Amino acid sequence: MNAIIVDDEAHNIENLQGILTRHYPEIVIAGTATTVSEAFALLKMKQTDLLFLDIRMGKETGFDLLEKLSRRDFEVIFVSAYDKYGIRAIKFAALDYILKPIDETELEIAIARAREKITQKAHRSRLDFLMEHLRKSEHTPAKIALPLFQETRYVKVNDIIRCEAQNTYVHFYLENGEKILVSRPLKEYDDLLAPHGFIRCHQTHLVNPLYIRSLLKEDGGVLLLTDGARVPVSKSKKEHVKRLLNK
Amino acid sequence: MRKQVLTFILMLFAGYVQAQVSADTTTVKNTDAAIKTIKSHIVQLLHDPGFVKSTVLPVAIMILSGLVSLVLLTLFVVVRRKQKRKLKYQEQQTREAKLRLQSIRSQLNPHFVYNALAGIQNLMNKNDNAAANTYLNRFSRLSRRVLEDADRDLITVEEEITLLDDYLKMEQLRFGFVYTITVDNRIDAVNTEIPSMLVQPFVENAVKHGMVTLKEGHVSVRFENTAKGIKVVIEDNGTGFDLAAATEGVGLELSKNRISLLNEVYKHTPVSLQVGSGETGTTITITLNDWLA
Repeated sequence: MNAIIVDDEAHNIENLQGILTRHYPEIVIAGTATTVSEAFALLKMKQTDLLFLDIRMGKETGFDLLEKLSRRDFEVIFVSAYDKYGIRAIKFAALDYILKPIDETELEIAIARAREKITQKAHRSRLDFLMEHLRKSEHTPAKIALPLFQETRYVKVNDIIRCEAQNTYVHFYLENGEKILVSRPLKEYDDLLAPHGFIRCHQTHLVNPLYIRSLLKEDGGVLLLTDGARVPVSKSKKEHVKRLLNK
Repeated sequence: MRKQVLTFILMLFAGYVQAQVSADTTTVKNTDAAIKTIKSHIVQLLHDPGFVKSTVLPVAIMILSGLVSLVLLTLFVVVRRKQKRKLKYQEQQTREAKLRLQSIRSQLNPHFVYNALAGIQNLMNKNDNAAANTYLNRFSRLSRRVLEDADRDLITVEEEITLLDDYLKMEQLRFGFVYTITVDNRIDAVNTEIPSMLVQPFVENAVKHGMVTLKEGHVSVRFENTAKGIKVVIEDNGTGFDLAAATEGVGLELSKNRISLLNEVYKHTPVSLQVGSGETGTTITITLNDWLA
């Protein structure tokens, strides 16, 4: 697996390169770059499977690099010290990122996912989706990428009726009656969808307010949805739910 | 009380009458006699209840009400001025607090913090324990200074230098550049205090605008003692920035606000700022006028 590391700070490249060499002998570092133009030239020259890409690089960003490339036939793991909006965009596209300083467990998960995607070769649309969203410069895009086992589904946020957690999996219930299983924790979708008005009414439930028919008093509070589903409201969330519904 | 006021008014009245009489009786040489006449006049008048009622009382009331309204007006003005001053003070405090918070945010901005920590992580992973320790200590000292001393208005030149040195060393870990900090030996660095959070933002800008991309970057900070006062010069050989556009000058704007606020407090020792930026670098001169006078 050929990898390229792009970061404007040399010590960050050195650090990641050191970790990769020590723990991932199958990853060959094909090159490193500290600016967008250097990285652009490098990517044209070398066949690359995996790109470790810093988001903020002085006045440039890693997104600028992706924008310049006509072919994005590699996996990207974003590496960032801090970038609220960038990371949000990455999450919406269901792409992977790690934070600096590097947590080796996080790195391992990201690399495992990348490895899987590289063998499947059915994933590149996520980068296109990310770039499209960034071009529109909206903080809350209308669609969200859901990573399934065999494919990536792009779902309109307004078509999601509700999400239900099952351990580290989430079931998405869509308006057309479809049910999608995603291997990510509910917390992640709570963060992403809260700006769209989604209500976390229970530890294991996230509901789109567009589909709430009524709040029933039975069992200490139950939300009746337009598709007939009954979603429990936990005691601690009851006031919060009432307040949101009365808005 | 009423009696006293009345007597007072009468005495005034007596004076008036005396002046009138003396004008009328320029021929009268014997003033004693004149006074006697006046006195008897007054006594006569005072014994006339009609006169007291028709003339003395209304005049007394007029003067009295005039006095009372004068006192009330003065009181009103004083209270209002006090309130205004208090409001202005509070406003100043709020602005100062806001600036302070912004300054903390800019000095310990997340991007700097996590990259600095990543720099330390790299030293650890390279098994350079000594350097990792040194940088960790620097980082702690820097964050402690910013977090704990943020409410101090003044710090000594020596403390400022330690802060700048720690800050620049941390940035050096991230970007390869050279820097120098020099202090005029006529400045008593241990005992001279200067406004806090004044110099650092400019030094940060110098790193941001120059050192990130430059291969042979250089930043110099000089504390000079001049006839005008203390002068702090921050110079870099970076790419500079467009002063007219200055859209990226959030830090510059912040510093300008801080300086105008300082000048409200230190009226007699105003701080002035000079900014020069071109393709070959940026020079910032902060002058603390008459600071040592």
